[in-house]
Amino acid sequence: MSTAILETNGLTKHYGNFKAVQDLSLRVQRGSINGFLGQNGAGKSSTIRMLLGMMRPTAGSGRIFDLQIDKPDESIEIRKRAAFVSEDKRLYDYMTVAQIIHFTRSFFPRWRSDLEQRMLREFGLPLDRKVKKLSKGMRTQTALLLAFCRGAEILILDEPTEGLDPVNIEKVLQLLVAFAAEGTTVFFSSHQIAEVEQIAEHIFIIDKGRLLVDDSLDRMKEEYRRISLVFDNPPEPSSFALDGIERITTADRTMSIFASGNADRIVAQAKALHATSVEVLPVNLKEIFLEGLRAR
Amino acid sequence: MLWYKAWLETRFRFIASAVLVIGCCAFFVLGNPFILGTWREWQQQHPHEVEQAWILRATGDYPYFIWHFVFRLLLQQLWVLCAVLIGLGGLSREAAQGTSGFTSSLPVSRRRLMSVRSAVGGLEMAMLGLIPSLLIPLLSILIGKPYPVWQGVSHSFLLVLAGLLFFSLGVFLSTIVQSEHGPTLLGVAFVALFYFILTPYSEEGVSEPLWLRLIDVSRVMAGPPYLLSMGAFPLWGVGLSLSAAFGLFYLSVRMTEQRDF
Repeated sequence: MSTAILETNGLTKHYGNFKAVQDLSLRVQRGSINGFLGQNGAGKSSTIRMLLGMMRPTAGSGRIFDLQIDKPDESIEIRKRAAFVSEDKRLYDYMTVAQIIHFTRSFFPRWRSDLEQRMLREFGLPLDRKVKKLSKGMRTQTALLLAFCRGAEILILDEPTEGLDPVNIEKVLQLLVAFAAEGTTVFFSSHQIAEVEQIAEHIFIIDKGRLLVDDSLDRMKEEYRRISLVFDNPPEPSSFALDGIERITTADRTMSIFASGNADRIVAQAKALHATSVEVLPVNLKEIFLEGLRAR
Repeated sequence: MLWYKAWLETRFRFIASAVLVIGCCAFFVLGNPFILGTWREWQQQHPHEVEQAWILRATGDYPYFIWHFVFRLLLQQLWVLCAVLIGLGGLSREAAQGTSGFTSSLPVSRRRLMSVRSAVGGLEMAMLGLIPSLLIPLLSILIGKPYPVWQGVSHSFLLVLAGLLFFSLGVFLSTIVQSEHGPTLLGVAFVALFYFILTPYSEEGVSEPLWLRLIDVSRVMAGPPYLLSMGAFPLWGVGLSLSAAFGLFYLSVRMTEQRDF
């Protein structure tokens, strides 16, 4: 039986001639933490907005909790059980923190008052201050509180830690881990790759609207390698026609191979081509992200 | 809680509008003796000038004076301006302000968002319309010139029902112009232009060209100077104006439902 809580098939969004999202197919497992990475304008926000019924897909389909994202009535049901933090975290300037909490709470019967009190305490949010007078960090904290306390089954977060200091970033990341431990699914976009690497189990990388990487972080760390080779006479890159090679760069006598797997066979091939030095290095998520984009 | 949000969004505009409406009513009622005195003085200084018919009539007929200044001209213009300004708002305007992401994430349909927002605005406009109907008879006692409550209520009834078109115009402008201040500027410009075009025809007895008569909601909002029977109410005009208001509102809802946020 499928445990996917969120699924898209060929999801596409065009703005006139601009293709923001192209043929995007995602599967997000229930209770997992998923990092959604991409450059500015890669299509992350458009994807998230389509998931929550704020935008209509040009083509393709999507389901959350087995409900269609593009049907207005079903989208309302999705939003009853999903929480969202938008990229800009703009809230109603004319409300105080207490008013906006009171307002939001009224839409969510499973509102978590315990968590509300805890977050208010930990973030030190001033209840009687108008939203327009909050600092950027406090506004982000308020937006996170309003999302986290909904008692949602899935958190869909667009840059959730933007504007926070390192201490509060850590608090938020720990909260996300705790949510996942309770069975809540987390799907979040971020430019802070280190944060994603710290908590995510599954990574989606999107570029120019297309899905580039869809893999578990553990597998990526296990399989992705940078292989540095030194030759007396470097061979043509075409000599390495093997699966898993994402990118080859040659400088002088040194050849650098970025591989998404198959490292053993690449090393064997290098030795067969008389490499004088072979070094296999692990890579972090940032390198995978950057190399993935360069390879395109 | 959507009602609460709509109230918080519009309360400053509503309170400011109420102050203006109260001020306008108080000025013309309490200022009636002063205005009449000024006219008399002017007449004495210019005995050979021919006075306009409406001045002559307003001098001796207090209900006509009130109708002319309040329900036909200045209060009506003020109310219309307030109606457009209070109508501004909704999800499209929130998109310009950056809060549409938060609002759209709530488990509420766009139709309900707009309906509640408009219902609150409509109620505020009704209250703004009711202020003169109660305030004018009350203040008139102070100057010793009675003004029938039912007359004020009847005129307010017309003002609000026919004038809801301008409220819908505000909603519509907010829907089609996605900027924070664009709809406000357009709304104010529209009201100014509308009354500028109507100014030459604002006096009684001056007939309008047919095309203007068809769009002159102002005349329907004012009704005749005396509303003594149901037959005096411009019910067709009210019906057409209300239909146009609902049409504009429905169009705004449909456009908002189709739009990406």
